[in-house]
Amino acid sequence: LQLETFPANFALIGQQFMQAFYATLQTNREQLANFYYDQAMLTYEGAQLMGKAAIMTKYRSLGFQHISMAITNADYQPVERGVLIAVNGQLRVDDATQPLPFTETFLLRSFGQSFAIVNHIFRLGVHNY
Amino acid sequence: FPPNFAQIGQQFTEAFYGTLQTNKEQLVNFYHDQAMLTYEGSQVQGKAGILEKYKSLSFQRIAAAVTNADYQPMENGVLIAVNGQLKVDDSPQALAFCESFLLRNFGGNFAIVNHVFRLSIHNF
Repeated sequence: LQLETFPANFALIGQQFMQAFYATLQTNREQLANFYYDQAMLTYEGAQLMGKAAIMTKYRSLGFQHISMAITNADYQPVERGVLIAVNGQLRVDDATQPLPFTETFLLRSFGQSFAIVNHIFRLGVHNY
Repeated sequence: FPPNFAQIGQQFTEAFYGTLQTNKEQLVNFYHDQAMLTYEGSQVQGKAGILEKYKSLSFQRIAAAVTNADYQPMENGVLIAVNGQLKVDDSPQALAFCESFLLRNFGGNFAIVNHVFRLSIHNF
């Protein structure tokens, strides 16, 4: 492992990313494109998408107008030239009375001075037992 | 990017949860020497710390049921996101959990370099 490439300020990078990402998700979904690397991967509720264009098509296809996110936990770990983020929270769409638990994982990589998402997995925390 | 990332992921997931349920101290064998584990917010680094953490968990038995496991390829590795429920000892209540694993290829063997575990409890 090239430990010397682990960003020292990984938690700060992670926090700043989270704040920006969730704010954009809640106010201006179209702008989420800016967070992803061109060849990023998103697995959204099991559907695998590769590349910015496919990812943005997915975001545009989501049927809600408004979404609000409440983050219960966000854990950050450094990786080679990047940050791993694991998020646990609840979301509410439109006029739903019931919040839904969700979990998501982001892998950010540094590209020059900025960080972009290269891997992203989203799941609702629904257990059908 | 490993082309058979889903298979690698599935094999890992089966082996990991199998070992967790039968012999949790053996879990340390899945980790790289400098791996990181964040367990319910507490960060440990390195195999010794990780083994200590697993030894310190106070349950005798654990049953883990995986609801979803998603796999994505990365440079020289696999990212795994798991969503499931667990039950410890004689507890009647299943607890939702989520965890993320980053596996890296070290000469043909995949080892955990990053691992984050959380119970999915929302106190709102």
